[in-house]
Amino acid sequence: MKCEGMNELICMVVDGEATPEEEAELREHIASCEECRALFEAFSAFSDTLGEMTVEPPELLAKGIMYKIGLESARNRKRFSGFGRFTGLAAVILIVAVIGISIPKFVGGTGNKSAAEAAPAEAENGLLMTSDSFAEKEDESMRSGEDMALGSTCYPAAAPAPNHEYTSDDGTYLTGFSAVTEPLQKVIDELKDETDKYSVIYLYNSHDGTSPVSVSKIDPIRQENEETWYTLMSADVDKNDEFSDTYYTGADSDAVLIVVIRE
Amino acid sequence: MTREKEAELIAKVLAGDADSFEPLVHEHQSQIYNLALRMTGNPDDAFDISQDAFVKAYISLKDFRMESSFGSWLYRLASNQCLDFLRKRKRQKVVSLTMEDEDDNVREIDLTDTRFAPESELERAELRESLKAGLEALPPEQKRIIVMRDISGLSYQEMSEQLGVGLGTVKSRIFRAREKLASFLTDSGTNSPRGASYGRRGG
Repeated sequence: MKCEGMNELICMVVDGEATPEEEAELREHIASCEECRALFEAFSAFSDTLGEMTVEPPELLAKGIMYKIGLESARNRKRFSGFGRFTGLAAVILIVAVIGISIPKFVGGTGNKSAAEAAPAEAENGLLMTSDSFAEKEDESMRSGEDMALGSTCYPAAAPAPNHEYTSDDGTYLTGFSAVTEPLQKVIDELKDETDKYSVIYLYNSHDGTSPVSVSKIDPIRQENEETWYTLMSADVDKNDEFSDTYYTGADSDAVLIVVIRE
Repeated sequence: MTREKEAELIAKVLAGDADSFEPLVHEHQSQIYNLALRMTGNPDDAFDISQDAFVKAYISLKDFRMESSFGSWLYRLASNQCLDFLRKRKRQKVVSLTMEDEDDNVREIDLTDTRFAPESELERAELRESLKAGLEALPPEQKRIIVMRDISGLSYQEMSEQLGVGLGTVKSRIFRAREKLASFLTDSGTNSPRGASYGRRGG
């Protein structure tokens, strides 16, 4: 029995993606192949049944969304009218950089110049990004208006802008939020010599390109599956819900999220 | 909603008229909510994720380049949020450490966490129930594949764009996800509609 190529054909017919010729080919095959016929019938049943499982969204959903958007809208206006908002808080800076280096490289401490270019926050040896390495970066050019920097970095600049993809000169694949890279450098420069509270790096190695990068519970160094967590200093981003957020990479890239907290 | 209408609304929102976002919400909430419902397996989380997805879309609207439709941009954002949620949940809950691996035996998955069991009002047909449980048992990526295709009704082309992979990859991923779902149903003792076993040769 030749079942080669039937796997996909079964799905294509179930999904209405096959040409009439392809469908005829499958029909002919499953007339004599019990195994493929069972799969075809099962997949058809799955598809039909799941297709009937859609529900109406709760009435409150749209209302809830518009309410929250109203709050955002008001908050936005407030933010741009002044930057006093952050001065009373434990200042929290959330920075995102997404760079296309592989986790093993990163963990192994192998330098990656492209990554360094894309996200100046990471030190030449990725994991060695401590407050010391921040402090070593000298740049006097970004000294003005700390609150301004906080305000401009914390929120709108860090919003995800998926699908910004680059290939660097040496071929390293990069994905990033270009809007974030510059503020990232700015804030690092702002804070480099006055903090000893830099917090956490969360690394997410995404192979399928659509995986999120996330700020979550901070733990000591840990590596499991594709994920590596790294704590630079103890802190818990989840306590700062307002700034705990999720960012996404574009396609086919490894990702690094860098969170800096200053207490 | 036409692309023109959509563009007009987006322009208004960007100009500061937040209310113009509402028609976009009404247009897309069903798809986003159903996506989130099947990804998370429970209505409360689906509500939260849907809400967050729209709010995030609103906040990041300035980054929307109109290269795709607003709907597919929003869908990508929401489905990523669902994946993120599932991964966080996996870390927080004792579900199973084996879920990540495609080759793991689904029988090892512990579904005793009832909070994430399929919602009860839909407990009717055995297949429905089994499919829900099966979806829950799938690794997040495979779950998303199934939901994209069978719940959201995306075409292969649309899936290819959402996932940033080629059509061939879409096809093989759909097959593998369904095969895994089938093996879950077989392993969990669900009778197939025609009593067939869903087992499949390797490869």
